[in-house]
Amino acid sequence: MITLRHLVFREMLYRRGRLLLGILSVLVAVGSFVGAFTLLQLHETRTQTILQRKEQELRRTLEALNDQIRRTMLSLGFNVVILPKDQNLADFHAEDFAAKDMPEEYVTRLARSKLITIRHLLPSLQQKIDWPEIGRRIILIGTRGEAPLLHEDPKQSMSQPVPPGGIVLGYELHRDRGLKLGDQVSLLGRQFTVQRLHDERGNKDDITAWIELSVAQDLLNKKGRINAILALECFCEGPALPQVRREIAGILPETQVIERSSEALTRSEARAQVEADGKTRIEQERQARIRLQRERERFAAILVPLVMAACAVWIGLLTFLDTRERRLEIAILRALGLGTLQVLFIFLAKALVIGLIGGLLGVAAGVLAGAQIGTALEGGSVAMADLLRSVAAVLGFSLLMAPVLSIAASWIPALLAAQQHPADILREA
Amino acid sequence: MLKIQHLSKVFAGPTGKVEALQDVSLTVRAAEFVAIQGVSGCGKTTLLLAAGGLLKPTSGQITVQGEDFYALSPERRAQFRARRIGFVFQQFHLMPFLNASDNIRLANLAVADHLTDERVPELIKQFGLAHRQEHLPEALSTGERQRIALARALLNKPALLLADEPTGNLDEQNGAAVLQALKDYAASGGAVLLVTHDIRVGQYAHRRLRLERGRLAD
Repeated sequence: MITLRHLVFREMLYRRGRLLLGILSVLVAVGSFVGAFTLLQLHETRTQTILQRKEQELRRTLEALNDQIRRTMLSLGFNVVILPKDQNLADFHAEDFAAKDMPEEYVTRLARSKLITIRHLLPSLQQKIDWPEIGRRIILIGTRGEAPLLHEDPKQSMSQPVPPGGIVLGYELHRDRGLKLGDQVSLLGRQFTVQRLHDERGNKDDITAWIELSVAQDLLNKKGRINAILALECFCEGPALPQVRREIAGILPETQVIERSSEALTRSEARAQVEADGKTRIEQERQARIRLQRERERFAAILVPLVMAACAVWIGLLTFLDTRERRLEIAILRALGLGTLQVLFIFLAKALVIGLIGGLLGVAAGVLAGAQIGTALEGGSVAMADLLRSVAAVLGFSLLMAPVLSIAASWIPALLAAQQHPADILREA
Repeated sequence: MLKIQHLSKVFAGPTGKVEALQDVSLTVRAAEFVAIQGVSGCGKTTLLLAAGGLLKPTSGQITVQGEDFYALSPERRAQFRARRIGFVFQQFHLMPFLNASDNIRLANLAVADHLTDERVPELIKQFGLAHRQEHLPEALSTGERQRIALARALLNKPALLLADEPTGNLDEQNGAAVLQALKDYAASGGAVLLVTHDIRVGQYAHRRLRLERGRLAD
């Protein structure tokens, strides 16, 4: 027995050209949508991949830097300052000198210890004083300017020593008086010969005077006392500063150790800088790709509806031509007892089939086209898993949207055809 | 069987009203073959379409088997037409995408009766189409196409068979075969109303009527 479904399929097979044109229209509409979607999704996936790769690269770089720093910590020395145990560190950092003091003998004890290796030891006695002869407050530093270890393991001295009777002056202390090398100055009633004059440094050195340690101890009435030991390039076997601290504490129990700038610290700061720069670059890349994604989305938001509207018009036109050509068939079907709804069904069922086939092909074509364009725009290759994800994301919607588009576009011409009066057509025939 | 009383049909034409049928009254009884002749444009096809429930008259009444089918809803009228009325046209109006046997089966589309479908082979044999039943209309001769159209019209054993110039495109032999088939159908109890130019119809029809300018004449 013949059915409406039978009638629809036989007619479609008979007029294959028009069927293919209809399918092509839906294919283009769905393909443009799926293609745009795939392209955007691949762009997003690609963005994730690029950002992940960059993050991995940054992580590797940071790990390499960490490794370098760890090795640096093991092989390079620290610069540490050894202070009396009861020295308030807040005061030390605020004033940059220690108010408390400790025996000068500590320097010798530390130098002779076998537990750690220290290249240079610079004991100092520092104090803020009023320089009555010039009427201003200065920092007076007494320093040997030499390391006791140099006798056992001669190396270049870290600083030039100040000889007894000599004085080194900071910028502000010599500028106003126009002092020159070799000039005589009086400090706390004692005569000194100017040994060196520092250029402007913009720090406390500009108001500092350096004299020989024992002279300073005399002037400050602190014989055999110092208040800081600067230990430069400390080496130890263990992991870095904590071990240095422990070892010094073992040798000089009445002291505390704080770290001064060191190569390890510099590298650590460099690592932090690399990390910050890397994160900034990754964020910039992310923002740039988000902007590109937004631009493509805006473009797709205009293009896809336009293409779909054009295809809908084309499908409507095809259906209209179909109904015009099949007027007599419609009239005969009506004469044979078919109602308006059944005639409407014939055209809309065809639109449904066209929508489903066109939708399926459109998904395939759109995904492949999106992948091709995506590859051309983004470079590299597209993973099958990404394509399958795209298909899965749009398949259901496309298979729903395509028939709806096709039926909606065919609705008006099909309705007009179904409502045609068969007698009018048969009288004209 | 078919009873037409005071039927008038007026169309709105570009130059005013056109009275296609004027006060036409006609009865075709069961087992009667009535032929209506007239020149082109005299209203023959309009009368046939109105009698088949496809063209609502401006005034008058048409009943088939006592049923005033213009009083029915469009859906019920369509069903009534599918079951009780058969059409044969001059241009055959076969579906070009269906083969011969499916074109005959098409009459059962709105009825969906399995028993009716079983009559198809019988009709194919009756009209000598057994060797052509799988062919599409485009592969058939005009005579074969008209026989298919006739078989389609007879599939549901309609009470009333309406034929509009069914021999107009046929040669003498095929035309005679169609007229004979109509006569045979009337002989089997069906009512046949034929509108035609064919002068041979006198040999087959029980009654001949003339339609002139929308009015029936003796």
